[in-house]
Parts: sequence; C-alpha cells; structure tokens
Amino acid sequence: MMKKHWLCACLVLGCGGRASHWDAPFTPTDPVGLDNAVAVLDPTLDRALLLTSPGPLGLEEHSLPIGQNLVSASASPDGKRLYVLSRGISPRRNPSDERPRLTVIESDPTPRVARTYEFNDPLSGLVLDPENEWAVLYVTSSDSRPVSNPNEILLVNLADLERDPIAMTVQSISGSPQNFSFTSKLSVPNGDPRRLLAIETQNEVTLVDLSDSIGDEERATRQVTIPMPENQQGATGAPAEVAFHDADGTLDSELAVRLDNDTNVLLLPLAAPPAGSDRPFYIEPNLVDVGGEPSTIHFVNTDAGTRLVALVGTNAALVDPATSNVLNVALSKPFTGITLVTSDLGSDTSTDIALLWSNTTPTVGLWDLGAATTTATHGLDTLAVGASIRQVLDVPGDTFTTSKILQGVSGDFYVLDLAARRSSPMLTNGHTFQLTFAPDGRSQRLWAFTPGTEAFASIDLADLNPNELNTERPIWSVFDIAQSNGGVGRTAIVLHQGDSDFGATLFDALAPDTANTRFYSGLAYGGLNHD
Amino acid sequence: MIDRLLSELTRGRGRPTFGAMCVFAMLAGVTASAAAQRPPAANEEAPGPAAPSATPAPALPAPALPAPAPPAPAPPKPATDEDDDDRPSPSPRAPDSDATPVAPAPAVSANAFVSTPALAPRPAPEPDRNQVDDGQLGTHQEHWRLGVGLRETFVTGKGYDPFSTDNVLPQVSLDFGRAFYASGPLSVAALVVWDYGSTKATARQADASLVVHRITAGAEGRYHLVRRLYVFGRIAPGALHSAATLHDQVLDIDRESQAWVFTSDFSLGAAFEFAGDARGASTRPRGWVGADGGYSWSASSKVDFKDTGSNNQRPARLEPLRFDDLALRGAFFRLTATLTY
Amino acid sequence: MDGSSEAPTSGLTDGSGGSFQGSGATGNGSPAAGGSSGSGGTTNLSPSGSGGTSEPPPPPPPEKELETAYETPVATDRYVWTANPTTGKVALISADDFSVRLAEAGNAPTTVAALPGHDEDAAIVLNAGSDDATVLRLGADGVIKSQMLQTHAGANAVDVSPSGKWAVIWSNADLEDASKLDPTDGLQDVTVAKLDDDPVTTTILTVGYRPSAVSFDDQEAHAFFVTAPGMTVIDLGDAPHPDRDVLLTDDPVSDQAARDVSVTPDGAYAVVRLDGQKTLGFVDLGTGTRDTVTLPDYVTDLDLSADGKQAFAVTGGALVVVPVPPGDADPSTFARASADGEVGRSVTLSPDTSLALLYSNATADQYLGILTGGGAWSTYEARAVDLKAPVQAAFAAPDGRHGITFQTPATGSTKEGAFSIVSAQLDRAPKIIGTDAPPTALAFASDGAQAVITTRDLGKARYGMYLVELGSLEQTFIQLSSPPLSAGIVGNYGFVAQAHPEGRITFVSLTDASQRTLTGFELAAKVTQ
Repeated sequence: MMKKHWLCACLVLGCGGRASHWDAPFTPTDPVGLDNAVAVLDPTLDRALLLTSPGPLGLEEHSLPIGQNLVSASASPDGKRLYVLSRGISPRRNPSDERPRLTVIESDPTPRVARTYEFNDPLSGLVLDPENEWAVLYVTSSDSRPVSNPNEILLVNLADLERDPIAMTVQSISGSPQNFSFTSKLSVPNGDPRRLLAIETQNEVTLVDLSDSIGDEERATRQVTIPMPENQQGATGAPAEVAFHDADGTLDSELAVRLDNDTNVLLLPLAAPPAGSDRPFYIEPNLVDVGGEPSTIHFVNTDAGTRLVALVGTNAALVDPATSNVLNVALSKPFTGITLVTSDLGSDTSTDIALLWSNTTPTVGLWDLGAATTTATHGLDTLAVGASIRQVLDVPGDTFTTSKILQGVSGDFYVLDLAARRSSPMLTNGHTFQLTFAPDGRSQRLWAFTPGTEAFASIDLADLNPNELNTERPIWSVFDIAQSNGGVGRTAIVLHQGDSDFGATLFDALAPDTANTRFYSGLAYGGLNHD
Repeated sequence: MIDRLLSELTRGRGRPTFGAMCVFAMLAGVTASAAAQRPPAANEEAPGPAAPSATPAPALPAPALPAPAPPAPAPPKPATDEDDDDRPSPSPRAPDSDATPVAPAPAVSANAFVSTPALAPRPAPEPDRNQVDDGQLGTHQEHWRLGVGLRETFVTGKGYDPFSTDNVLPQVSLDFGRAFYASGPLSVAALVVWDYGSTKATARQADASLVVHRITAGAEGRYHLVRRLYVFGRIAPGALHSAATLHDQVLDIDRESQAWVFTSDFSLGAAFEFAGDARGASTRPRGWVGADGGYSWSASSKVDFKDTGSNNQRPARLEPLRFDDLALRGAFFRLTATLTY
Repeated sequence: MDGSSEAPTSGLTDGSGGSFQGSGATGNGSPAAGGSSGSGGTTNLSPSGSGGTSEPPPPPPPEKELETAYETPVATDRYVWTANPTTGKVALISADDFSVRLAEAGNAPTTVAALPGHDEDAAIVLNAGSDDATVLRLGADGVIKSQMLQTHAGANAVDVSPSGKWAVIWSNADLEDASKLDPTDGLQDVTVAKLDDDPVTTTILTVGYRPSAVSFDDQEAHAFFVTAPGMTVIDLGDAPHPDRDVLLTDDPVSDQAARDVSVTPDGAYAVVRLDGQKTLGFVDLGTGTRDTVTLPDYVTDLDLSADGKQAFAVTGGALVVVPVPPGDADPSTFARASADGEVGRSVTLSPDTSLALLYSNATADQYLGILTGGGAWSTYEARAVDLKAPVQAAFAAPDGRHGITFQTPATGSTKEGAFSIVSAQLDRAPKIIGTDAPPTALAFASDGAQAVITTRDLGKARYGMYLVELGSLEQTFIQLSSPPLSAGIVGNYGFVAQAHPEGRITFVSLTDASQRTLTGFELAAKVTQ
C-alpha cells in the first residue's frame, strides 16, 4: 500500500503539465495603433498585447484579456481606446461558456480594460462614431446562424461606458444594414439639436435618433425609413453615400443620399412635422437629377448659399436644396473626390474652400466656393501633381493644418501645401507605400513603408526631407506613439513578424536614426514569461 | 561520448527508455558479478572452515546467456598452493547467518565459462577466506563506492514550463565516495554526485531546450539494518548549472541563457547489497542497488536570453529576452546501482 | 393692313381689306347669296363669276385638329393634381410652398379632372384598374376626404360641368387601342355623377355608338354626347336619363368620320361641319330640325364663339361668320375676313373671338393669317406673316392680344422644331424660335401675359420648357431632365409634368422664371415615419 501511495505521488508530480499557452501558436492579426500604444492581438490566447514606450527606446508589454474568438479590433478615432469584438463560444453548451463581447481597452495612463460588454448573439460588424460617442454592432454575412435577424444592431454609448448597450432592430422592409453614417448635431424644427445615425441597407436609408432626450424604446420605435426611388431603368435604387448639413437660417437641416447607378440625388430635408405631431422632424424627400452619375456628393457653402455639390464627370452640379435647381459648373477635369479645407486654411469667410482630386487625372483643384457662381473660372484653381490620386490624408495635429498628403495610384505620394498652392512629390521606388502619422501629429513626421521590406522613410513635414531608415528584419508595420511617461518624447515602433512570434525595432520618432535603435524580440511571450 | 550516451539514455524529455534501463541493469549486474568473481587479496585473513558454497544471489535481470560450451578436456594440473587463488573456490563455505539453507551446488556455475572435469584427484584446496563469514560489517559498511543512477526531479516552477511539457527533469547520476566512519551499524559516507539532464520542448512553436548539470558533495548517514541493507539520509549541497536555449523565430537565431546557482539535495533512502561476500572483511567488490528520494532545492536563476555571441545575424542592440526565473527545485527520487569496494 | 368687308352683293371684299382666296373661287368671284332652310332647306353661298362652267375643284385635304392634343394637366386653384397608376395614389402639389399631399385612389388611377365651383380644392379621378372613380376633396383643415364611385366598366374619360355639379364619365374610343376594339364595342355606357349630393350618387346610362365628345348646356340641364349616329341628349335632373337621340346629318352612316360638331353653350343647337362639304349644318337639338347653309367653298374648319351665337367657318381660305341659328339669313351677307397672302384652312379664335389665327397644316404652309375683329366682324384688320416654318397648330391667348404657333422644321433648318410668338398688334413683327426638340404642349396664363411651352425629343433625349413673356415676345429656356408630359398654370406658376418613375414636376415662376423641381413626391408616402 505504501508503495502504491509513493507511486501515485510520483505520477501526480510527474504528470503535471505546463500551462497551455506554451503550446498555442501566435497567429498575427493586423496591429492597431493608438495614441500611446500599439495593440497586437493574440487571438489564440484571447488577449491583446499593448506595447508602450515608457522612455527613449524603452518598451513595455501589457497583456490584457479579450474575448474568445476574435472578430475585429479597431482604434477609436482619437487613438485613446481600443475596441475588440469577439464571438465567444458558439454554440454555448455550458453556462460558463463565454458569450460574445466587446472589450474596451484604454491606454492612458496605463493600458487596462475599461469595460466589457457581453451580448447574447454574435455580431461581426463594428462601426465607430467619428466623434467617439457611439459604436454600432451589426450582423454581417459571417454571422451565420440557423435563424438570425439581419437587422439586429446594438448601440453602445461610448460616452458613458456604464450604460448598457441598446438593442434594436433596424426598421427595414427589405435588406440589412450595409453602411453607417453618423451626422453631427443637427438642428430640428421641433426639439433640441441632435445627432442622427443614417443606416444604409440595400434599398433604404433608416434614420435613428441619437438624442439623449428620448428613451431607448422610443429610439427604436421612432425610426424613419426612406425607401430609395426607382431609377430611370425602373430598378430600385441603392444608397451609396450620405452627406448632411445643419440648418443655416434659410434651410432646414438636411441629408443627401447619392444613389448607385443613378443620376439622381435624394434630398431629405428635416422639415417641420405636421401640426400636432410631437416628432422632431418630418422627412420630405425630393429627387434631383444632377445630369450624370455623381462620383461623390458634399454639402458646401457657396456665394449663393448652401448647396449640394455633386461631381459628375468634368462638371460639378451645385444643387439648391430649396428649389432643386441645378447649376452646372465646368471644372475642366474629371474630379472624383472632394474634401473641405476651409478650416485648414484658416478661412474666416462664410463660404467654403474645397480640395478636389481625381483618381484618373493627375490634377488637383482648389475650389473657392465663394466664387462658384459668379466668376468665369467659378473660383477653381488647378494644380498638376504628376499622378492620379487615390486617397487624400489629413496631417494630424495643429502644426501642418494646410498640408495634405496625396497618395497616388502609382505608389508615389505628394505633400500638398494648400496655402502655398504647391505640391512636393515624394517619388518612391515603385512599391506601394503605406503611410502613417502619429495620431496627434506631434512628431510632425510622415512614415512611409512597404510591408515585407527592410527600408522605410521618415519625412519631416517641416522641410520635406526624407530620412532613409533601415531595419534588420522585414517590416510588418510602423507606428508613431507618444511615450507613456508623460514626457514629450515619441517612439517609432517598427514591428517585425516571425513564424509564431513578433518583434520590434524602436526608433526615436523625433530624431530617427538607424544607429540609435533597439531591437526587441519574443514579444509574443509577453505576459507569459515574466511577471 | 559518455555525455552523449547519457543524454541518449535519458532522451532529455522524460524518463529513461526501457532499453536504457535494461542496458543500465545489465551493466550493473555484469559489473557486480565480475567483481564478485575476483579472488580475495593475498593479505587477507586465512579462510575459515570450508563452508558449503552459497548459492549466488540472483543477479539483476540479465540477458540469457548461451549454454556453456562443453568443457574441453584439459590436462590435469597438479594442485599447488599458488594456484589456489586462481581457481574458483569449489569447497562450500559456512553459510551466512541470514542466508537461506544452501542447496547442493549446481554442477556448473551460471557464470562459468569453462568447466574442467577433474581427471585426477587433487588435493583439497585451501578454503577462500572471503567465503568465511566473519559476521562483521566490514566492507559492507566501510567501502569506496561508485554509483550510477537515474534521477527524476519534479519541477513545478513555471520557469521550467517553456522547456518541458511536463514537470519532470530526468537526469543521470554518477556518484563517487567513501564511507569513512563507522560505529556499529551507523556509518557516515561522503560522496560527490554529478547529475546531468536535458529537456526539450517548444515555447509557442519555438524550440526551447534546457541542459542541467548538478555537482554536489554530500554527506550520508547510514544505518545498517542488516549487513546487506542500510538506510540512509543524505544532504548534498552543491552547484547547479543551467543552460537554456531558445530559437528566436523573429531573428531565426538561437539565444542562450546560462546560470550557476546553489543547490542542495535532502534525501532519504535505502540500499541493498545484492552481490558480495558475506564476510565483512572481504575486500571484494559488492554490488548494491538503492533508491532515495527527497527534495532538491536550487536557487532561482534569471533566464535572460541573449544571442549566441558570434552570430552575425543578430541585430544591433538586441535586447535580452527575459523568461520567468528558473528554479529547478522540487521532489525527486533516484535509483542507483552502486559498486562498492 | 386695314380691311373691311361690306355685305357684298358680289361676295367679294374690297382689296384693301384682303382678298378672298379660295381654291374654288376666282379673284373676282363672289359668293352668291343663298337661302337657307331647315332640314330640307339649303342656304347656298355659291360662287359665281365670269368664269365658265368648269368642274368643281376637289376638296382640300383635311386639316388636323392638333390643338386638343395639347391638353393641360389638372390644376385647381392652388394645387396640381397628378395620378400615379402604379402606386394608386394621387399627389396634390401645392403651388404655394410645393408641399406634397398624397391621397389614396383606387386601382391604377389614370385620368384626373378638377372639380370647379366648390369652396375647396377637389378633383375626380378614374381608376382604370378597378372600374370606379374617386372623388377627392381637400378641406380647409388640410384633410383629404375621398369617396369611391362605382362606374361602368372601361371608363377612360371624364367631363365636368362648368359649375362642378355634374361629372360625366364615359369611354372615348380615341383613347383606346383601335386594334383591340371590336366593331361591337360600342362604348355606349356612361356614368353620370351628381357631385352635389352627399354622398355623391351615380347613374349608369346608355348613349349612342362610340361617343366622341360631350358638352353641357349653360343651365346644366342636359349633357350632349356626340356619337357616331348623331347625338344623345342626356337629361340631367334628379334622375338622369337619356332624353333623345338626334340625327345631325342627312346621312349619318357615311358622315361619321368627317364630322365636326360643336354644341352651343345653351344647348339649343349643334353646328355640324363635314369634311369635303361646302355646307354647315345647324341642328335644333330641341326639335331635331336640321338646317343647312351652303357656303361658297369647302368648309375646312369650324369654331363657335363663347356664347354660341356665332359660328366661325373657314371656307375658301377665309373666315366666314355665320349666325347661330342662321335662320333665313343670306349667306352672302355673312361677314367674311381674310388675310392677303394666306390661304387659311384652320382657325383658332381667342375666347372673346377678337383674334382669329388662320393657318393650314394640311400642307406645308409657313404663313399665318392674323385677323382682329370682334363683334359681328363687320370690320376687321388682317395681315399674313411668314413664320419661316410650316405651321402645325396655332393658339390664341386668352386676352386675344397674342398668339403662339407650333411649327415643324423649315426646309434646310438644323432645328427639330420651332414656335412663334405673334402679336395681334399689326405693327409688331412675330418672333420665331427654333427649338432642339419639337414643341409638344402649351399653357397660357389666365391673363394671357405668359405662356409655358414644352419641347420633347425622345430619340435624342432632349427635353425642355420655355417660359414666354407674351408682351415682350421674350422666352426663357429651361432644360428638363425627363420627358415632359403636359404643361399648365397654377397660381403664379407654370408647371410641367414629366415622365419619371417617382413622379416629377417642374414649377417655374411666371414672375421671375425661378424654378423648382419636385421629384419623387410620392416617396413621401413610402417613408415610414
């Protein structure tokens, strides 16, 4: 008997295994940059690794739990939070099986889980409000269940993490949510200014009132659904883009919807409701034919008042929302994109200045809408840039507000100085570079890199001098973050990917120098190997 | 080569293989038997009255030996005194007090390679003194010892997890010492033990290995329950060297971390003499098997993986990769085969 | 050019006032006085001249009555009513603020008619898919009340009495696909709705074969259906019923297709013109007695004055004013007016008959005769203008001070159409405007100050509208995105209804030509809010 006890003891001691995480591979997912941290998701261990830099070239790693079965991770627009959506255990067979959840991680002052929301149903879609007030979870095609409600959404109030999510069903006759747009605060005829959530389904646009003055139940029942009109061919239209503007004294607040394959734009003024109604507004839809299929729409302030501009080929159709009259302005080039730069240029006029670009023509335009209807040139200045533009990036921060980064379709990019009306090309070696900034722009640098290579560049926006930098392992991604000790220093973290691991090369983001770096490897072991 | 052999025996991952154990047992048995066949030294006491030969203690499981070949006829040689030491003692000796009643000696010894039938009567040789039990502990107690064993330490510290899929650190032990003090059934022995083991696993799919050397010098207090059986307690402080290696998957190089730490074993055990003369004064080797177990304590060592030094693939200013401190401590047991002399 | 006509003994006018020119008369020919009789009597106004006994010239090719094709959509005082057969709704678009109200009608509402004479905006709409009609009334409180009326099957036309008391719903063969009509499809059912009743009552009656027009007398005691055999008179009373059928010509069988019938507002007489005939028939609808007046030449067009006391016949290229009834008047004493340089075959009169536009669209005639007279037309002024492109139709403004013509492209022109603005004032030149698409519809402002004209070319997708300032002969072009269907005036706006799946109307201010286009006004009904 004694011998058996000894044997059992030996077996117990010897058969004890190690923690399962040592057997779990590291499966890389796209890292997410925050203001002062880089988040690398470790889905096999259901955790997020947040890399912070406490000091010059220093690196700390924080392991935070996230839910099981990672779906997606997104940073808040201000870079302060990381939102991680997970599916949990599906199907749940035991009470302890984890439910779908949204984990909110804050990185300031130190990374921590600020809130975890749990839900009953797995939702794979996550959309964040540009103003950091709301998040929307919705059903996507990857949420396959025997029976599912495709219009099910959850509204999460990010301004008050203690509030429970608001579950609701999008009021839709047919279709399911495809796209979400948050408006700014809009004045309404009958009530306080409020924000609206415009939900685009295949053939409808539904408006959800985000005002705090109404209850959640009322929010769900008071949705406004606008079906899209039939186009000239008799096919029911599909929404492609939503624009909005606030009331300006002469016009009500209004939304505009660009339609796929349609020369019409749908105007949705938030008009006064019928007498006796307690609704905040009443939608009176109106279609306006802009003369061709527009590539984009935007509300602008012109010398003639608020107009909806629709870029149609080489023309811009300026639509008067009040009369539906359309003024066609010849632009000389087929611009396909528009962004307002009025505040960037510090203009104090009541009219807007817009930057126009094209993905088919190597020209950008600076359009003074204060002269849109009166002058022969309609206030448009064009500038050749050498490449068609596929994307325009804002430079974060307050130092280079007049600068824009133009990403060319050929891989080159340009730094456009709106004030000087000058573009500086940054010729590349043919690779398509990814560009990144510090979220707050404090480093005043633009980082250009191509994943998989070892060379990248840092461009000082002050003198546009590119600084060639190299790493000793292929680059996975580059991030520019603030140091977490509260100082003014910044660290550039260049991530490298291994078979089941990842590492980082750290640079001083304010004075990057290949001779002043530090390499960290084995970052996949963070939180596993050292307390 | 020995290092590799020992490593192969332990395989570095768990317990010794069955084959290794068989080889070990065979070597121990052969060694013990061979030692038991050695004739006593010339200056030993004269053997006592002839005693019936004792049935040799059963050896450790040994591979089956082929049947001895029929003895070739050989010319008889006159018996001389000088030859007494060279011949196996045919006369029976007085049995040990704890020996079982002897049976008639087999016609042929299992270990005999040649048997020579007597062609002519010879004069009766003088009895082997070592066959005569003097009833003393003698070299049962005081002797040099050389042991080889297999040790299993159960390391539960999580610093060990990257290097092993279980909590076992197998090692091969070699010890050498001498019992230098005896008082009655008590005796004290001093010995030096060298334990060697290695283990290998993957840490998130990266190859990780650990090689451990332990050198201890211990003191062992014994108590003979009977001449062929004693229990002991041992304290063996010493030094432990660990060499951890991790394959860095980002850099594609091996990184190492080495450390020396203090260690000490605290164990209790027992040993049994399975081969050897009953005569305490016998100077012929004795074979023992023993087992002990207890607790092995080692100081923690930091595991900071650095590059392997001359690797020109390493990045400049590579930061060490730190793992949990390695504390190779825990319960252990050991099986030992010892040859005393 | 000043002219006058006297009661000629020779039937000729003097040269200063224009000349009578007709295909059947010589320069010095004069209409002979002729008597008239009832059913058997004939008043002959036959030419006599120094010419010999030549074969009578063949009748001119028939003129096309195109003005009625340019119907105006329904507009009440403040609203434009438009029906959408697809959605079963009728949209009421306010001309004040362009707000849109929607009313539920029946299945496939198609034809809408305004209901005048009520304190509220009201209309009746025929539902082609459900053989019923819906009466819609917009109250002062903004609430739309509706009532469904059962009608006969196949109704596609509705006429409302001037006071709005009666609506006659009938089936017009001209609006049907002729290839699908069987000879036995008489379309003889009509539904009379008494709109003053609450609820509205309807009576289904039978009229003659293939009715083609309906009118009411001033007292709204009778409705007159022009049918193939003749005319059916409906007695409108507490119990509407067919009163009698009246033959309009001596040969009702062969005269059907070439007949042009006008009923006097008092419902006493029907004046009948036949293509290829030189006679005018006058039928006493009370007694059925028919009287005939023979004019010197083929009568190519006929119009009645607003009071029905004068019939204006175009014969021999001139306008002849015939009293209604003619009685025993000598046709040679009938007033006659013409314009030098224009051989008119058709006439358009202003409502007060002070302006007459003479033209011909049977041939490519680019001239327009502008005649201003009035009263008995014993005196008049006339001139012919060259509009450079063949005239297809002419329209006289309500105030009789201007006219508009629609024209086909001139030879050698690169334009697809044209229209002209002419002034009744003799010393003002006409304005000719070439258009990129043929003009299709026209509406005058009630005071005759402005007009709205639409142009449409489906093949080249060119659509537009013109706002015409008649006083200054100026026009403003507005491009449209969709094919215009009809034009009208409501309040201070002209409007053009256009073809669009979601419905489209463009309003243009008569004051400053500012525009507002509403599209998808039925979308509001689909919005769930």
